[in-house]
Formats: sequence, structure tokens, C-alpha cells
Amino acid sequence: MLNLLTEMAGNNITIAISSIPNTGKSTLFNKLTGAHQAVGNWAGVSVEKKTGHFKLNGYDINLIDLPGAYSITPTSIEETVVRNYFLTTPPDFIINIIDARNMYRSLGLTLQLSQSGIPMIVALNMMDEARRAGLEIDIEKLSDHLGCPVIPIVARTGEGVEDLKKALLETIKDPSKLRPPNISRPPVVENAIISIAKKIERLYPDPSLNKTFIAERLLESGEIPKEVSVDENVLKEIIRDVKHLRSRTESSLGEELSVTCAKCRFNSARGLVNETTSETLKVPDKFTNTLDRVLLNKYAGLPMFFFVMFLLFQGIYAIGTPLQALVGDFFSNIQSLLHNASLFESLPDFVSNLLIDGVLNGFGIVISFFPLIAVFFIFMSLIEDSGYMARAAFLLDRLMHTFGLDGKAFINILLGFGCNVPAVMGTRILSSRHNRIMTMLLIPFTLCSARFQVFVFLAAILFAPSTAPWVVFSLYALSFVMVFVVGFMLKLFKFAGNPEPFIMEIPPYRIPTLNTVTLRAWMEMKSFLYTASTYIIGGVVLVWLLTNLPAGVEPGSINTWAGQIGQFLQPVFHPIGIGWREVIALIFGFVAKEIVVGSMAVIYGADTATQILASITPLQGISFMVFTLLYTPCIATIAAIKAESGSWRITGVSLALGLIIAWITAFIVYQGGLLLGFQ
Amino acid sequence: MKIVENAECIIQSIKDNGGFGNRLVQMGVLPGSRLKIIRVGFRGSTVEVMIDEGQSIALRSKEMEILDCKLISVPLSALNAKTGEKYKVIRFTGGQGFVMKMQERNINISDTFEIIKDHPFELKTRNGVVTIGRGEAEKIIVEPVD
Repeated sequence: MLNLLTEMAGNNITIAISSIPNTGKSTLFNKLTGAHQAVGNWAGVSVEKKTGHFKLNGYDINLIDLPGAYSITPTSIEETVVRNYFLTTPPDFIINIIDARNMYRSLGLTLQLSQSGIPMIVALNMMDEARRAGLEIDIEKLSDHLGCPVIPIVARTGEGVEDLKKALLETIKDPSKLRPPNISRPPVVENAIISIAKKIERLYPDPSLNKTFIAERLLESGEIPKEVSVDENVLKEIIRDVKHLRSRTESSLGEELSVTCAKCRFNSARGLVNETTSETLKVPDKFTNTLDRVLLNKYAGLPMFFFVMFLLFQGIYAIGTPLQALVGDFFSNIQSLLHNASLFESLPDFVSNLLIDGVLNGFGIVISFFPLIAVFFIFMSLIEDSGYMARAAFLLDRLMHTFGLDGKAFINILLGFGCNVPAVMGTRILSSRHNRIMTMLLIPFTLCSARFQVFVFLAAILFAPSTAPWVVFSLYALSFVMVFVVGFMLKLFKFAGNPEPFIMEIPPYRIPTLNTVTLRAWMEMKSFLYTASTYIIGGVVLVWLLTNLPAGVEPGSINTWAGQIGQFLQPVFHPIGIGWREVIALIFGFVAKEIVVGSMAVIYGADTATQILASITPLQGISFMVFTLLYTPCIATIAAIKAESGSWRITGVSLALGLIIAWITAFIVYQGGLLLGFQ
Repeated sequence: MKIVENAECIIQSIKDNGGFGNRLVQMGVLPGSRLKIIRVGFRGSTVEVMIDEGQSIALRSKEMEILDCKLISVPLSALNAKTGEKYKVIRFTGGQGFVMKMQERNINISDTFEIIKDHPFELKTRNGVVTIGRGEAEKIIVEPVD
């Protein structure tokens, strides 16, 4: 408590919002902080970390949105993040959210957090829906039992949020009124917890955490989070004691300690619900029932899903792609304008070209993704917030389960066929780290619209008008097959670890709020700007340097570094029928696939089509297209993978996987074609 | 347990199979919890169940099979019943018309009957032998009588 008071003297307070999934946590977070938030990753894991700020009567509140967790007895990476957060950097306060429609499901975590020793207040959310369902909750009694303020709110509309702030302020000023409930446990468990709590007194000098709370965490997991810095020997001794006590307790209980503790918690929860509510809701609302009878119908469900996906795809890309082209054109106009501007003419050619075609071009690419990302996340939020995402996952589970993913991943992969960048960013809606990593490694194999442009261009030159569409179609088919093949490979080698058990809540349908949807799109654009732009601009400048240096050579020619790399790599690319000129085009292709076509114009000079026809055979063309389809999509996708995974290893694996698979597949196609007598 | 729509069971014990059991427990699904199968997905691999506290969750049938469940009610159509076994009618999932039709044939809620033959079902009720069609059997939810 002393610690708490001194900290408060600075008026800087850290509050963590923690609740189980689907309780409107993000909505409340948005309501409290507005756009004053930042999105990042928890150290070392690709779990989203959202922080925000708001002012409360002169207090500077630093709000942390913890990942949704059913319990701090972790069964997923998200829950491990939450537990470690509480054990290593306990906040000054906790805001816990209870779903008023179904208190039982939320109360398990609430009761667990109430034992932590950290002052807590509870927001009873979705009161409007509970009222509509005829549910009456005795809030005073609930507050009495939980020993902390319970504030009824409707986060979507903002109802009660001011009351929540007021209660928060009162609790901050005087936390002494809080008295956490007592959860009765079998004596053997209670004794074990107390005996460990005594042992760890010196381990945790921080007085804000209850020692019994820590002891229970240790007993059920048998480990201490790495972040806790203690003497090696002391640690070993405690771990030994914990293990010994745990096995003794568990053998006397006849079940795992975590199960016993959960039973005690949920028994209290059940009692609390019975005491404080008029009746328990036995069924989800009628609306959800009726809609599910149609949308999850055995026969109509899948066709409806594909129809929704069709609308989603069309919605995103019919609006987003032209906007992206518009912004892109705008920047190329600026580039050509600047080339003639007197300011830049006074600079040496090399410097002005580097600035305009390198840095500014890279910046233009970053900005051009903005409309697409905004539209993408507006549509994705609609699908997710409405509750349809869980239904889609249910419908597609059978198919995606074959490579260890769930149905949600299908939507991300499908949307990759429009553009890989937002699709990779969208993986953060997936439920586990395993699924996120798997999906972001698979998305680059989808044939995006930029690659489509390259294929249409080349196929039109190299093939008869009647054959060309079939070539493009086959590439689509290849793309699908490769997603499956790579998916199987990743599953086989357990690259992303073991899939988490599939237990997915199916929430009732809900109408998304404009505020949440637009704020989400805005935050995504902001985080793309912050996390991805440096990599993208850096990559564009690098490619510009490769294709323009050394000084004085013709850009894109054999004399440039890129040309020399092309020649140097000739032995590697010869077996797949790709010459040095196309290698330069592929190097350009790292920036963005759209510019492959433009770069070919530079490389082959005037009358590009005739030149290409004269120097590439149809079979070589196909091999080039296959390689283009499968290797690294673009610098922006790589940047997005780095930003999402937070790991250079995953990013490197994605790069290597693309290049190796592209080479092998192109080799099979080219050599196989030669054997069959094609040219 | 039988994975068929409208079946209900009570969990007897939960084993932790690769984290599955522990996750369920931490979500409040405990021994003693009642599960009702709402919906069986495409080709039967994914199942939507409702916990008696009213939350709806999706599971995979493979993982559900390892749950130690005691069946408490099941549609008649899902039974592989032997002659002489006794069941009790719990509820009907059909509408008013269906309930009336059943009443005409002397099958009412909480009636007990004995199986004579299954698929198609011939039941021995208090008032004689009744034959039940396949579609009808799906709408009659029964529980075993010891």
C-alpha cells in the first residue's frame, strides 16, 4: 500500500483492463481512451499489446488492454502473457468486465483477479442486452459479494462509462473500502498455498501482490516467469518445494490442482449468479437462434458463406484497389513533377534520383496502401464484431483442420488473393499464435492482384489470345495447390509448434458500432505507418541503389549491381530458364509486383513486347511466372510479416520459404516441360 | 458419447488431452456441467454445444469423444437399441402439429416405452405397439430408463 501511495503522488497511474473474450473489452478501452492509443506486441510473442491514455481529475491514467483470457491459469499464449504481466509488472488497478448476459462465464476470471491484492473495480457490460432478455441483476448484492464497486455499463453506447470513471476515481482516492471475497478451498489446497506463500516472502518484495495469489500461480504451474529476477539457488529451492507440495496435494486430491481451484471458483460463481440474478439465461436470444438456423444450416451454410466471402472480397477490392491506384498515380505524378523542379535540377542527378525514385517512391508505396488497409479493416471489423467470423470458422473448420488451422484462417488466406499486405495484418484476429504464424506464412503464396497484372501482361505477349486466359487460370490453380502443400509441410514439421485445442465461443450476433469499426481502421493505418514504413522505404531505396549503381551506368542494365547479381546468379537461374534480364526484373519485384512490368520496359528498352517475345520462350515465360507467383510477394508484405510476428526469424523463414519453393516449383515446371518437348 | 443434434449429456470427468480438458475447465465447463449438442457441422467434424449456463461453444467431435460423458437424452433416431430396453420421452423438437400427431398415437411427454425393434422403430407403449417413421424418430427426445 505504501508503494501505491508514493506512486500516486506522481499522479501517474497504470490500470489494466482484463476480461474474458467477447465481453466488449476493446469497446470499453476505445471509449475510455479515444484515439489516444498505441498498438504493439508483447515482448517476444506475437500477441497484440494495446496501450492508451486518458485524464481523470488530474490523474494521468495509463490504460493497458490485456489480451482476452478465460483465466490466469494459462492454457494459451495470450493467457500466459496476462499471467506474467500480473506477476512481473502488477498494475496499480484492475478494471474487470463481466458480461451481464452470462455472468457465470466471466466470474471465473473476476474471482481469480479479486484474490490478487491489486485494487479492482468491475464493469458489468452489455446491460442493455441483459435487460432486453428480461434479466434482473441485483448489482448492490453483487458488489457486496465481490467486495468492490460494480458499475453497470453499456460500452457500445457509452452508458454508465462516466459512472465507471467516478467509481474509479473514488477507488483511487481511497482503496481501503475494498475487501476481496474468500473462495473456500479444500484444506489440503489451502495449506499448500499458505506454506508456499510464506516461502516466497523474500522473493517478492513488491507489497501490492498477495503472496497467496502468487503461491497459487506457482503451485498450479510449477514455474516462475522468467522476468522475475531472483537468486538462482533460492529459485531452485522454491521450485523444488513447489513441485514436491504439488505432487503431494494432487495425489491426495486425485486430480490436478488447477482443476480443483477452477471447481472452487466456478462453484462460487454459480452461487453468486443464483443469488444475484432473477433467472439464468438458458438460451441465446431468439434473433441469434433464428439467424443461425439459416447461416449455419447444414446445406445452405456453406453456399451462404461463399456468398458473404464474395461480397467481402468485392467490397474490399472494388473500393480499395482503385483508391490504391489513385494514390499511386498521384505519387508518380509528383515524382515526374519533381524531376523537372528547379530545386532538384540544381542537385546532382544521382542525389535527386535517389530522393525522388528511391525515398519518395517508397513513401508513396506506403501511403498507397492506406485506402486498402482502411477498407480492409472496416469490412473485417464488420464481419468480426457482428459475430459472423465465429460462424465462418465453424463452417470451414473441417477443411482448415486438415492443416492444423481453424476456419478463421481461411478468410485471411482468401483475402490474400486480393492483396497480401492487409491479409497478413488481419492475422491478428486469429485466436492463437500458432494459427497466426501459420497463416502469415501461407498468405504470400496467394496470387494477389499485383501479380495478376504481371501474368496478364506476359501471357498476352507470349501466348495466343485463346491460350493466355488458361495460363493465368492455371497459375491461380497452382496458387491454391501451393497453399495446401506448404500448409501440410508446415504442419508436418510442426514449424509453428503444436496447434492449440480448438474450443471456440460462438457469441450472439451483435450490430457493430461505427466508433469501433472506424477507430480500428484508423489504428491499423497508424500502426502500418509506424511499423512498416521504415522497412518499405529502406527496401525501395536498396533496390534503387542496386539497379542504379555504380554511378554512370544505364539504370537497369547489365552493368548495374543488379545486372551483375543477375549474371552472378546465372548458374542458379539457368536450370529454371530465367536469364539475367529477368533476374533484374525479379529484383525489382521485391519492391512491388506492379513494377515488374515497368522494369521490363526499362530492361528490354523500346518495343518491349517484341523484345520479350524474341528472348523468352513460352516455357521460360511460364517458369518466370511460376517463380514470380511463389517468391516473396513484395517488400510491404515482408514488412507486415515483421510487424505482425515481431520476429526476424519468422520473416526470414517466409523469405527463404518463398525463394526455395519458387525455385523448386519452377525447376519442376521448366525441366518437366523440356522433357515433354515443350519450348 | 453420441454426437447427434439435440443429444444432452453430463460430464462425468475431464481428462486433460493436450490442453483441451484444462482449457474447458478454465472456461467453467466442469464435471457435472450439462452439454447440449446444438448443431453438428459439415461431415460431423465440428460440433456446437451449449453449456447449461447458456454459453455456446464450438468443439471438434474427436476431442469431444474423449470427454467422459453420461448421456441423459438423445433423439430416438440415434439409438442402436436392443429389444426390451426401456426409454422415457423427455420432449419433442417438432412443432404443435407434431406433438398432436404423437398424442394421437399415445406417445406423450414422460411416457415410458419398450423397444421391440429399431430402424424403423417399433415401440411397445401402454396402449399397444406403435411404429415410428425415421423423420419422426429424430424429433422424439428420450432418456434411458434403468
